[in-house]
Amino acid sequence: MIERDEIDEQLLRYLLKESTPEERRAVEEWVERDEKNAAYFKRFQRLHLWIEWGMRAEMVKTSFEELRRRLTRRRRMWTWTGVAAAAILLLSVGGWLSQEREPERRPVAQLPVIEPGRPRAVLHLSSGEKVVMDTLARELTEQDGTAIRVSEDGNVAYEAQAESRDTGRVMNRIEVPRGGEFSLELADGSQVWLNAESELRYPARFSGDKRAVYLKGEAYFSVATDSTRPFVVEVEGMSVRVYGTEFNVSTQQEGRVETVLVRGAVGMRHGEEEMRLEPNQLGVFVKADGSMRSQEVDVLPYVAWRTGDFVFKDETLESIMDKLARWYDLEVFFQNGDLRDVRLSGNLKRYKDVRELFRSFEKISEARFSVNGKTVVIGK
Amino acid sequence: MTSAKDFEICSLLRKRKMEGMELLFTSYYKPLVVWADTFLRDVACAEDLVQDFFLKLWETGRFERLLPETLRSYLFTAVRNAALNKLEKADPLANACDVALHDSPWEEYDSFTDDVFRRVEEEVGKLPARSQEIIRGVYLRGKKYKELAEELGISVATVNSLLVSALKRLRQTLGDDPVKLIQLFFLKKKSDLTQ
Repeated sequence: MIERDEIDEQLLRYLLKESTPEERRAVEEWVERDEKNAAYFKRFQRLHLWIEWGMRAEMVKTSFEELRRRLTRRRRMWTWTGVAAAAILLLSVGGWLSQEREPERRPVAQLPVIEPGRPRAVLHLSSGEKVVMDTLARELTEQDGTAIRVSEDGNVAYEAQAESRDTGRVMNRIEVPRGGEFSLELADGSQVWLNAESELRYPARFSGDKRAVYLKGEAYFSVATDSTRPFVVEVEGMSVRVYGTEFNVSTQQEGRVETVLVRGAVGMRHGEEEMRLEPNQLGVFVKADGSMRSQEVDVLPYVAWRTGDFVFKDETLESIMDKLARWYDLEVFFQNGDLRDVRLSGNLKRYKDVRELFRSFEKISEARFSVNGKTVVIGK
Repeated sequence: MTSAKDFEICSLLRKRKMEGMELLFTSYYKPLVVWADTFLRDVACAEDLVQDFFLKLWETGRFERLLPETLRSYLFTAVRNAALNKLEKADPLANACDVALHDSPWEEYDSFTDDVFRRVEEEVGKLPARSQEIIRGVYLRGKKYKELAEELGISVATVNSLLVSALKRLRQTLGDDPVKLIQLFFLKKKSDLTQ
């Protein structure tokens, strides 16, 4: 009988493909000769595989977060909401944010920490040129001579020049990413604050009988008075028309445009139909059936973001998390579906650590927040 | 033997919950990647294969119909088939003889879990430095005896005998019986706790 060590040696060489063809045959014959041998081979192979697997497992890198990003890619739909004001109007539209961000491969050592948004935007000039704006002051000139001033505090201002060329055709687009915010002053002097994950398209200079801008996402408008040229925000197939001096528009819930009026007067217009809003009213346009309705609301929660606050008042946890996700760039998962509908209230400075808010929510509800990198899992 | 985890995975997935995918991932991702790697001999490639498999499971809605009783064998069989398909595409003749070797029924691999990986890693770490070098060379880097011998400045025969004696030691500490291996693992855990 052969020594056991010698058998092991042969079997190992066989499994590691170190054997010569003769040795291979010899091993196979040995295995087939006797059931005991076959059983021994099986156990030996198992040990070999365990070691191989145990060793090779060290090289497996992927975390579930990476896969989750791929899994949710086609399923993620972001929703938007809107609000408007008499001279303040806030409007929200949904669905456009389903565009995908490439899944990033982050080294494990640099787990992202939750950071609030900051002034950040991309300005698309009519030439197609892209200007990334953060906190660097600069001045640009459009094709028609309009001066564009970018200040270090995240504001862009347009200054129409006396002599005009190609008036009204020069369109600019400003894009604010997730986790960003930006404000701009349009050529007519109107102020626009853009929230995170929003986009505004507007002429470098207004011409014609109305001042039209195109919004995706959420923005707060303070419109300069000009009774001869109404200011119109085109959003998700409907428009919000401003009759006052200032308004704020935002679009956040999928399939809905919400307008909250703070001061002055606005009208929500869909086709021929127009619904006028009074101050402290919320107007809702439902895209699916084209219906519009209004109700009295406390405007503060709708417009607080502009002044750097989150104000949630008897709001569902789902809607709260949606807003926080956009600002802090979070991925949110609910372990218990019924937690989505829990209604909570709370305030938070937009630049503060969001976990403070989670802690206070934990005190007043059964929701439990576990934060891992940029992922928040909400369970009981 | 169907584990409680498999029941949980299937019931979560039937409700179309992402948590089901997460649990599936934590329980099976690593074992499946290593399993696919057994055929592909390339861990990165095996990771892609298993991820694509999970993605397809999710996107086709197939995950809703998984049964806990057959989950484990389904996963391992499907991944093995995918790996073999991939190999066949790359080289229709290669590796044909190895397939039979790994054709063993799934019940054999009930011990194929994260705990086992950790345990193997731990035990390999306790071997003498030279033996570790050889084990890692052969299993991790896929080196031939001859290449290792040259690299380490020793004879092929020495590589051979060091490897065999290392395996012998691992057999003593790990055993080659899945049930015993798991028991050892938990016994050890317990003794860690009482220390």
